[in-house]
Amino acid sequence: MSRGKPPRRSHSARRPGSAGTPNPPGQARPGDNSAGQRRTGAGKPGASGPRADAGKPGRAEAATGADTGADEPRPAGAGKPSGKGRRPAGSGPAPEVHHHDVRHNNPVTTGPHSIAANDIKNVIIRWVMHPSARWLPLLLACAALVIAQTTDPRGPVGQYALCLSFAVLAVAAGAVRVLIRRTPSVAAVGALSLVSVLATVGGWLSFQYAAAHADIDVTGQVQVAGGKLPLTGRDNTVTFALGPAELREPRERLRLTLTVSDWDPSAPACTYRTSATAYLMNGGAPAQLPVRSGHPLDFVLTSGTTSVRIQVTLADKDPGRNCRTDVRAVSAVLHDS
Amino acid sequence: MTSAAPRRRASVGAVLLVLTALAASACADDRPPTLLDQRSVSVGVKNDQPGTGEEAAYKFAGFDVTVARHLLEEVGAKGHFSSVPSENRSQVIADGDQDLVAATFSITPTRMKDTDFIGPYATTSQGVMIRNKDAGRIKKLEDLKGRAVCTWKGAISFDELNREAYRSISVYQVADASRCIDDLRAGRATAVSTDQMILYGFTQKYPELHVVPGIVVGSPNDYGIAIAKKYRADCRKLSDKLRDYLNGTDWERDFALSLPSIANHVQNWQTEFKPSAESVGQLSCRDAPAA
Repeated sequence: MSRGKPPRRSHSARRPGSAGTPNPPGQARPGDNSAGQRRTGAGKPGASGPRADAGKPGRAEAATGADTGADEPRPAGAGKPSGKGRRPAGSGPAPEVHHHDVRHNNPVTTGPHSIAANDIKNVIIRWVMHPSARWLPLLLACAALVIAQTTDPRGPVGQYALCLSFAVLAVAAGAVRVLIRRTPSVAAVGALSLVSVLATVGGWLSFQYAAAHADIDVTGQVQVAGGKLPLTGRDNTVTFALGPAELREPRERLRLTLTVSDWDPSAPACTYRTSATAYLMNGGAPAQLPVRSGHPLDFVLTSGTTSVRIQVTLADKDPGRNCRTDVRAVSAVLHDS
Repeated sequence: MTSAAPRRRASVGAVLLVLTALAASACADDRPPTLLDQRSVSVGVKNDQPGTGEEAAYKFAGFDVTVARHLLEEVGAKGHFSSVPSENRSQVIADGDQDLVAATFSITPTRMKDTDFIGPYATTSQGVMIRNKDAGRIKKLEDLKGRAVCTWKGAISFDELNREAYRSISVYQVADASRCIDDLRAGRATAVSTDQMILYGFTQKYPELHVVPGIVVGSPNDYGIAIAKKYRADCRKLSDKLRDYLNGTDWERDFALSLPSIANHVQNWQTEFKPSAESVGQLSCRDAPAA
């Protein structure tokens, strides 16, 4: 093998799996592994096939020569030490070389692991660099996005922020992977594909988590199940309820926001003379919470409950004032802790 | 060389001008507008309601006037009183024709959106007033069934009596309180309905009239002194003074002097007509009642 630069290979020949121009029998070019032969020590160790600089003598090559010459018997056909790596006998001590560096990805070293790792790596590289694989990460990301959308996730968008970030990353990396056409390096292409696929997986998992634990807004579905509005000194109780349809997705808690206001805003202000208390009657651990208008109340629900009933009772701080009061559920959100 | 000196002078002048402008802008008054700096604060009051707001010999008297005068004096201002009709009470504040309105003005959530209130300085239920000679026949609301009840424009009781619950009562509305009193005295109306505090005030002037203690309509009224929202800082100062007024004994003294008909005839009148100091914080200088 010559020490100089190997002849420049055609673009197609650099791609693993591509047909390229077949070499004449017995004229395998440096670095060419098209004949299915195991590479020798010539060329950069581990850089089989796709690297444009395959066959280029490098430092590891020199080290290989030194190492194999000094410590281990060189297998037959393992490649002669090329110019730089060749040292005349007795020219001084061999340069210090780490065994780990030398044996890594060296197909000629003993032991089955290095060879297997190299084969796996080659396979992965072939997959990653295969022309048809260009679209796969992007398609995977888009498919995950479409499927996620079709599940009609509930809850505010903010809860899916992580999932959306992953999706953006996955699509962006996949798109860049598709757009790279000119002399892609294995490292860049592999990194983009890996990032895209991992982001897709991460996004999908975070979506599943968010969908399972997302807040569910049931504001419009809270029914007045008992009592009559406006509340007065005599009719001072109203019951709000959620049924099985609203509770079909189990959540641990209900965050309920009530407003207490004067029934007729053109009448004298009166509600400030009253106090309201909310009681969880059904669907969770009995609770009794003072109502502050516009401030959320949090009720712990029983697991798997199909009905929640909350009774609000108004009390006059100053009895006999005939206040007419409106109580409304302005927000109801099922949520996990 | 000869032109250098004038140019330098011009530069120095320009710099001084800029510095002066900057200093002036830095010293500019960015305090909120106040009406308490004025020598006299204009206050709109009623002039035809004995006990609460009445004008006699060009002098205004009544509990509204007493409270407004007291609060203004406490902040070092002096009130200049003039009459305002009930239906114009919000408008004169919005137009800036009056700085304050203390005219048995009920605090409602709707009014609080447009006007700030310093209050409540008094609380009263709505009721009815009849002639003394009808006192034996009319003791409860049902006794007014089919009878004419007079109210006037701007009085909240008109809206209240037009509710479904009082459908059997024949309610009509006139321009002002004096017309209703005339109708009642002349027998054209069986009763007059408005706030009990106002009605008791009329009984001081017309002893032949009588407030029915057993008839209460709607929810109680809280009276506040209206002030434009742009004077929020003044509103807070005055409401602090009102809180002090309610916490002391001056309120009882002034109320009993202005409305002896209540102090002499209503048991526990302090409990019924005096608001709590706490309620001042719930209704004063706010866009909506505190919940």
